[in-house]
Amino acid sequence: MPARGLDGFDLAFPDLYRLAYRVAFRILGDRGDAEDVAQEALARTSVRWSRLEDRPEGWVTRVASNLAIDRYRRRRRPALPLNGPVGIVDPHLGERGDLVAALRRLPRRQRQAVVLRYLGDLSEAQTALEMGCSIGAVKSHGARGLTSLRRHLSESTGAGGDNVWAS
Amino acid sequence: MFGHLDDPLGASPGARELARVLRRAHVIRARRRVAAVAACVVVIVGFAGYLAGRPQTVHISSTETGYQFNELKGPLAVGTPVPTTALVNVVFDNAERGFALAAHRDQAVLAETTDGGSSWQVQNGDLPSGYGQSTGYAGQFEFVGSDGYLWGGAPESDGSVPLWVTSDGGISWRSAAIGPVVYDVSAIGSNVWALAGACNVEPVGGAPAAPCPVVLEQSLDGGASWSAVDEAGFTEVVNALPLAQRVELARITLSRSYVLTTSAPDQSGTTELLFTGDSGATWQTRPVPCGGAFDLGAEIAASGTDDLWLLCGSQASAGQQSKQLYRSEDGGTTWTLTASATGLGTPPPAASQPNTLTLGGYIAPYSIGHKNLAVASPTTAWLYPFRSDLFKTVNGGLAWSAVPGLDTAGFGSGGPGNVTFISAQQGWICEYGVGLWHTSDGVHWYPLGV
Repeated sequence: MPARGLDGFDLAFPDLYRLAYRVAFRILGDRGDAEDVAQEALARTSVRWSRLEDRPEGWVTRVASNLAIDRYRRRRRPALPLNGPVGIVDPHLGERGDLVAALRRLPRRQRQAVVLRYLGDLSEAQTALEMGCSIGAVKSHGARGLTSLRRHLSESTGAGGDNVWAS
Repeated sequence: MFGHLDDPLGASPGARELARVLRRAHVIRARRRVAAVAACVVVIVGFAGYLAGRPQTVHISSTETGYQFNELKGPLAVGTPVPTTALVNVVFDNAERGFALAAHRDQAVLAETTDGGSSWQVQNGDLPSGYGQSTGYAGQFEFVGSDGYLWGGAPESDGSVPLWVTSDGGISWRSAAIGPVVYDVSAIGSNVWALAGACNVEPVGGAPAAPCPVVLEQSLDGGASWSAVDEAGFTEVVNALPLAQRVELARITLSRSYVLTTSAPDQSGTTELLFTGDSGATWQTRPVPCGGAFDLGAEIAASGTDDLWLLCGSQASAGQQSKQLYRSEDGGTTWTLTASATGLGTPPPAASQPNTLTLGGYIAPYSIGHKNLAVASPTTAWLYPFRSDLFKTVNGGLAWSAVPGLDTAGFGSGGPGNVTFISAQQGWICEYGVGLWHTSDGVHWYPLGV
């Protein structure tokens, strides 16, 4: 839990930044983009810090994932053809795209549970607190969400999806 | 779970990242402030625009009360519904179209109906001054199609009492170049006559008014242009009066007209009747039977060329006023006392007549102009004295009976109002605060706008 007071945000900044970065990188797979997302998410967190300082992790996780998904969608738009050699190719690029697409197909509560619990690495108790529900409900939503994710990813990637997203 | 998608190097935020985040947060805060201020400005401007331009018509209908009507503020927009309870004076051009002066707060507005009086809408919410509550909503008006005439309001600051003319159904008014004081107007088609005084009204408390020439003005184009009628005998008689306090013009046809003048009681109380049968070229005096105690005011009406009705009143007291009704079948040459109501110090008439008129209520000069007597035919007429019931005669004025139903509705309670007919069957009666009633058979009356 971050410290309270005028410097609370400064104190909580490293951990929250890493959390936002991790969520964004899992979706985008690009270090620069993930840093941009993390900075934007933390800037927004700073603006409303007085209301978030008690438990900002869930809010940061959701904002970072939303920003990352938005950035991923924009990045998927047709780009100008590149000339010359192509740089480093993210080996998980296809998986990230499938993940974003599958997440967007989940019902809202299941998507919340999956993002907070597995992308944000929040505990079941913290996720329940953020979602305003019981731990049992978090488990239920999370399990259903993962099941749906597996099904959607299997449809998009074939039978091998189960191996990649095994829980 | 998704660890294989993590960055193996991870993130190591430091002071540089924190500074960027704080700068970005500063930008977000600034944008939000600007957006909030802009939103406030938009809301304030929008609300101000709504207040300034909101239609005043949405919360009132023709069946609402005058109290609710008066809740609307400012000059009323054209088309604003007017409740019938706000009407103080109505005229009808035909069975469907009519105009009315309506009381809104302390001002008079012009209203129009196109459905026989069931619904009224503001035609002009900014009439010339002088027709409001301060004068008891005085003022008379006439409409012939879209040509209208408005006169008889309170004197302007310069002592003039102008005639206002409209040619667009009352939307806009212009002052006629006659006067400066206009006593009465009568229009037959586009042929309009106006009796005008050449002197301004003396201010209250000022020097006693001197005799003032009265001029008969004529317009042949609906009030656009005017010229004095070159008459003989008219000016001599009228100007001989000390002061033409009350001047009433009764036009029967384009050629036959009567002018009734009544001077102030303290200036002899003389009543004179003039007649022309040649469009005003020559005038002759007619005898006036009113006199003695019945010299306070008179009112003339006609149903035809030679059928005249003359109503005379005495000084009123305690809600009662002695009255005499005379009839003439020869254009005012000879008169017959037809009905009377005597009491309160007025001697009984020389001719023995029963008191078939009502003692209650007041006629001219207590009432407004000549709006109390409506003669539809030699046998049928209506009398609506101020603070009295509506009375009807079907035998030429010998007997009068109160029209049932109207008194229980509140008519005669003292508000300004009038009765008007366009035929022996079609009539309307209005009183401020009570409403507007109509008859289409001359017998049964029913309320409009409810």
